[in-house]
Amino acid sequence: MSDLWIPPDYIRRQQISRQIGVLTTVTWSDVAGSVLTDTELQSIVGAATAGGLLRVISLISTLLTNVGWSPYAHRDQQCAAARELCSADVAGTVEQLLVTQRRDVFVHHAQLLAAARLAILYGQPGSARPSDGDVIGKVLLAINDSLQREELEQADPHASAIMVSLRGLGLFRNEQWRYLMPRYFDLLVTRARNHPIGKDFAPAFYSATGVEMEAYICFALLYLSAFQGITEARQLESRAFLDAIDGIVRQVRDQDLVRRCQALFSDDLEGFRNAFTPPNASTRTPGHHRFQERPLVRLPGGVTLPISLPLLHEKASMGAYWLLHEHYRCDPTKGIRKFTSTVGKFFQDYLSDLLKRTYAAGPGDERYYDEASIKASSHPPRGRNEPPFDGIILGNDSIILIEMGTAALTADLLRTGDPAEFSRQVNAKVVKKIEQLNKAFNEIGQGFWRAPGLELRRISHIYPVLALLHPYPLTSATWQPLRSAAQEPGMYPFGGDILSAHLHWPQLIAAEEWEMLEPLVLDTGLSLPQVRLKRPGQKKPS
Amino acid sequence: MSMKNYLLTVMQMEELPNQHMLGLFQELVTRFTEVIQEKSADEPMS
Repeated sequence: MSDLWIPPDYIRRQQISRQIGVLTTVTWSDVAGSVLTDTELQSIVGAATAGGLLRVISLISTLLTNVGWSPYAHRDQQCAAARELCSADVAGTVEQLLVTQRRDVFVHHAQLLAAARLAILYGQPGSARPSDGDVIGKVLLAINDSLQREELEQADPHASAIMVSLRGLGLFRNEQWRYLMPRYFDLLVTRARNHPIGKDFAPAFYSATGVEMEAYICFALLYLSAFQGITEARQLESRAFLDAIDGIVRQVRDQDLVRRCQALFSDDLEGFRNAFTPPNASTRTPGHHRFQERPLVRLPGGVTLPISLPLLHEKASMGAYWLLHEHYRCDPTKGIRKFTSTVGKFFQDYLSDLLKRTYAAGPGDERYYDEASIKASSHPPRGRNEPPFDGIILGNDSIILIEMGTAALTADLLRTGDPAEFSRQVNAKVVKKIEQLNKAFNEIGQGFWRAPGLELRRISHIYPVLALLHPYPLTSATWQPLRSAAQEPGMYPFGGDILSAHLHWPQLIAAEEWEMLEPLVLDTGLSLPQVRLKRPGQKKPS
Repeated sequence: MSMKNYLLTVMQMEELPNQHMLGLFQELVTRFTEVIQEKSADEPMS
């Protein structure tokens, strides 16, 4: 039993959080028993300088990103942050809540973005002062109060789960940048070079930005290298941290290129303030979008820092994609459709190449066949030239049917988290892919589509898989519309009259998961169904 | 460690790195050294 007075609606919110699998955060009301008003919070932030607060926020973000996550290290890290950022009595209460597992998290990335926005809007101008750090702990705890209130404003836990997961994905893509960056380099640069439509990507990028796409990506690497691998606060407190970016770019010969790239990645305090102030600020969003566009802040005194290191990772890896997307979206000749369908084609080729490499020479028994092989082996009814799936992995007694897709939920939806709009977009973009997998299962069973060596009577398990370029939020609530559209799992006749094969639930596998599986399958001969069956909640088929 | 080697180290953090992704990353880092031309020792820092 807590010895603090906690409002009943707050306790209810915490219970809902736990039910929907969201980590609960330590809040100012946990510590003080009451919530700070917006005016009180603004006044606290206004006692410090914007530059001083942003330095601390950048420091925490860099440490959180670079220190590997594990349940044990994570709790120690969170307790250490409380001791570092809060007064002794407040830190004691925060630590107690974390150690006794009544709460899970004190500092986190979404909270840091909210704090950065407050610092920019209400912090004082001028050079950072040593006292600036004194207020940050209280500010971060108070932001946790307001974030939890926003996230759980829906009375329905199902709607809450959708909103929280969408907003989370909208803020951070949660993929490893070292996979994201080469993947998009392949899709937008190397694969595009010799393609009739793709070869226009590079000139389109230059016309939109005034910078070559490869120079853009290279400067992103340059910025990232300044903060990669820093895992201890003492490394960040030195002058080297504050001078990290400017020290590196001063060494580049082409300073005009430096300035043009800097404008694509960074903004100063005034620029951010303008973006956050109506009429520039959207009423629907708290302004984090601007941090996604410009993850670096230029502070007075020639210091450039990442407001959020994960957002810098994403801007470095996917920034070129979104700049091209925006360029083609504004094209009145429906260029966006051409752009997305070309990237979709490249992704299908990219993943097919990956699967061919994985299964061509591996020690296992499974083999992959792409769409062209399926067409060449099949004799579908007249008028049916395209199989309803893009590839198949054929094992001894199993097949994995793969449909590939680049469907993405819109940025607006990921900002608002609106459950009704989510339902509309999922039905329009993703459910049809699940329906294609249903069709693929039925039409292979009827013999319409074949693959070299496929004998239906030997197949005991069928695994439909949707392979996605863009991450899909995976919670039970966001999974539900896909599950409803999927053919009911169970025993079905497959190539005969008796119930001979087990159809499983479809699964989503993201590009990053395929990339991580490739060396594992090649090295060990591991079978994909074995990996998939080890996923939590999957029962071994009888 | 040079920046080029450092970046490649980042890419190989896993026990079993994806060799194809590593190849793409190496190509990117090669372009990096071409695009980001560093000043020579006798050129002034801006």
